[in-house]
Parts: sequence; structure tokens; C-alpha cells
Amino acid sequence: MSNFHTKFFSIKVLRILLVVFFVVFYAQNTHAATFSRNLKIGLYGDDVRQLQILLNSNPNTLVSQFGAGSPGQETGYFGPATRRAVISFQEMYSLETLSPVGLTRGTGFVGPLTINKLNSLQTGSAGLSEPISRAVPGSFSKLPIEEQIDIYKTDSTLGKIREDLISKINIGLANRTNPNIDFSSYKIRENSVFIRDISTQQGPAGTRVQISGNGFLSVGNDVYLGKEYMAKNIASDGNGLNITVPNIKAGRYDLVVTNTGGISNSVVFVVTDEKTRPVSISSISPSSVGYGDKLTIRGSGFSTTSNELFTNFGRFKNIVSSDGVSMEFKFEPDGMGGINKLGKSGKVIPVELYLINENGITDQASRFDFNI
Amino acid sequence: MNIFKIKKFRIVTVLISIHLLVSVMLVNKVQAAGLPFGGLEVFMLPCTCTGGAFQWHVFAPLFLGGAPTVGALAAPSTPLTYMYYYLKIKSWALGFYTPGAGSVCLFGVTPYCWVLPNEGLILPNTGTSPA
Repeated sequence: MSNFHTKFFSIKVLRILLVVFFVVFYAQNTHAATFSRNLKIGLYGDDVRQLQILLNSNPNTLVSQFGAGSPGQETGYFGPATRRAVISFQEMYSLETLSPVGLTRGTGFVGPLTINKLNSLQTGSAGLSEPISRAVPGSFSKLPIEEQIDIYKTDSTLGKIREDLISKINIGLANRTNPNIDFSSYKIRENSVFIRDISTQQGPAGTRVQISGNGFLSVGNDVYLGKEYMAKNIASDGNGLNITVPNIKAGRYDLVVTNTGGISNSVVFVVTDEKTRPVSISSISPSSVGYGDKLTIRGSGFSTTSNELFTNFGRFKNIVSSDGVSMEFKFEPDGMGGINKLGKSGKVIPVELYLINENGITDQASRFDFNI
Repeated sequence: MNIFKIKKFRIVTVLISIHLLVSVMLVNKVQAAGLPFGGLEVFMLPCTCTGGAFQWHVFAPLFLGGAPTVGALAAPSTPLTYMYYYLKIKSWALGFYTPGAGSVCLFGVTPYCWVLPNEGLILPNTGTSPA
């Protein structure tokens, strides 16, 4: 009797355990394969609700910020708001959801490619650089090559103005005639977008950066970190645009803002990590130079090939440092070569310089004198 | 009738005096603080024929209160008051200037000196952004 009871009890426990096992197994697999049918506007269903929950887990793909459809209030109805969120989702993961079929813009239709991406995010097996649930406002995504733009378009335009002025000055000096500078031939569009300032120029992934400028829109500003990374549709809060530095390879990136006003000028941002060596300048010699003289700069954190000095006389790029602690460069500022040929004026102009490379930016100016 | 005329004359005189006083005060205030400007520096030259005390800074865009233009301002060769001190290529300057300093910047080497056109003279209470 006792044996019977024990056996009966054991079988009962075994059955319960089996039921629990199958329920858990089924639940896990059902959750992992939530999306199996194509979804489009007008449909109802649990899968639509699951889709909305997933879209709402990322601030950049919210179905709705408030009320029906917002996080916790998913409806299960695929309406216009869900369609818009799906479009954002598809554009965020365009490499996997749009590019394979030759599309660059989201469609709002959840077909096989989008389903695959949704399912991979549900199971967490996609090997994403940034899990969607960890994304924060202003987060960046990597752009496929076909969606990358020329982020230096405005820099090039401004560079041409500069080159034109230098050319006129040099011709004037060579001919000993007035260069006759006339600014009226250069035009700037009224609604152009420009970056004035950023709150910090270097920092690791996760650093919050505020960008201030002219021509920012209340919504619809895209921020690029280099041509590969873009944070889409950033709103301006009145003080500027706020972004969070993404988890990308440490190094130097040029940051621009784009909107319907065009592409802004670029500013430098250096993404640092634990291997980054701080950049500093300990000495510049000699302390006073003429046009074309060689300067030796010593310090630490110098790049092998990509040091850039920015000064009140212009920028000096691609200066090499074989040992990482010293470098030499000839000081030949634009427009001053012609003056040098005419003769010495006997004047001394102070020069202030900062060093930028993939390790960062010097935090204070170094100085030397320029004898002209 | 005459008394009325005299009163009217006095009132007008007082009003004109007040207007002149306020105008002078406002002009003095503008001259002391300068007019606001902002812009992205694209080029710079020292005013070599004007003792090196001034520099010629070209901005694109240059905001002087209206639509953006391309233009230049002269600036003293001394450091500016606020952060990043000297104006630098590709940095954004924001501050004040005094209009009408047209011939303050002469460029070249004597006797070959030419005026570099500018909108005015940047005042020291100007700041620059990093680049």
C-alpha cells in the first residue's frame, strides 16, 4: 500500500513536471517565433500587439508617445501609427530589411525580411551591435554604403571661398596690386544649417553631447558621426540637439547636422576608450619662427600619421610622429607666402594652437610667435 | 493766447530735450557694448601694414543682425576675453563689434599696402567655440 502510494505519487509528480516542462518550452518557443504572417495596415491580432510592444521598446520606433498604442497601451490594431513606427524600424535596420530588395525607404509593410529581423530581436540571437531595448533617444545606427552622404559638402563650399580669397591675395601680392576683395559674389542661403558649438569634443560611448547651432528645426534633424553613423530625427529642445555617443570604434569622427536646410559645417568629436592615450603638448621650439621655419612639438599621445594642428592661422593636417612623442612641421600659413617674398614687416603675431588626432584634443592652447 | 503758445513751446522744448538725452544715452550704450555678431571663421590674415596690432577675419556665414552673408571684421591681435581666446579657422565667434573701422586693416609690406575690406572692429568681449 505504501509502495502503491509512493509509486502513484511519483507518477503524479512526474506528470506535473512534464506538463510544466512542456508549458515552459512552448511558451518560450511561442515567444521566440512571435511573427509568422505578413502584417499590414488594417489587421488585428496578438502578433500585432507583440509587434507594437517590440516597437515601443525603442524610443526611436515608438508607436505612440501617449494614449492608445503607447508603451503599456498596445492595442493589437495595425493602424497608421503602427505603420509609421514600422517604417522607422525598417529604416533603422535598413541593411537587413530594405537593402536586400533594393529599397532605401521603409514601406510600413511587415514582410519576410522585416519578420526575420523582428524574430531575431525577439530571440536576441541577431548579434546586434546595440540591443534594441538598450537604445536611448538620439541613438545612432550604422548606415549602409548606399545611404551614406557627403558630409563635407558645406565644408567644401566654405573651403572654396577660402581658396578663392587666398588666390586673390596671392595674385595681388605677386603683381603688387590691390587684391580687390569683393564679398558680394559669395552667397549663403538664409535657412542654412550651421553648428556653432558642441558641449564636449571627446568622450567614451555613452557621453551626452549637446550641439548648438543655427538653422536647427524643432524636429527632423539628423546627426552624423562620420558618414557611417546617423541618429535620425533628433528634436531641438531650444538649446540645441542632444545626442548620446554610440558604442563605436574609438577614434576621430567629424560630426554634422542635416535637415531640410542642408548639411552643416563639420566639427570634430573624438570617441575614446580605455586604450586611448591622452593628448598633450609639453613644449614647442623654437618659441619664435618666421614663414617656412620648422617647429618641433613634443608631448604625448601623438598619432603616427594623422595629427592635425588648428591655429589662428589655419589648419595643418596629416603631420607625422614616428615616436608618438614628437613631431616636426613647417609653418607656412596660407596667404603669408607672398608677404614673405615682398619682405619682412618686422611684426610679431602670437600663434595659438591645439592638437587633434584619434586620441583626442589638447585641453589647453600652446603658443609661439610668428615673425612676419 | 500768448500764454498758451509759451506753454506749448515749453512742453515741446522739454520733450525734445528728453528725446536728445535718451538718444545720447542709447548711442553711448551701443558704442560701449558694440553691436552683436556671430560667424564661422574661414580665413585670417594679419594687418601687416597697420603695425600688426589688428587681424582680418573672414566669416562665412557672418550674422550681423539680418540674413547671413560672407564678410570680414577686423580684430585686435590680443586674446579675446572668453574661452578659446584667439579666433581660429573653423571656430565660431560670437560677440560684439564696432561698425565703421574700414581702414583699420592694411595688408602688404610698405610701400605696397592695401585696405582689406571689413564691416567693423571686433571688441574684446567676444568668445569663440572649439573647432
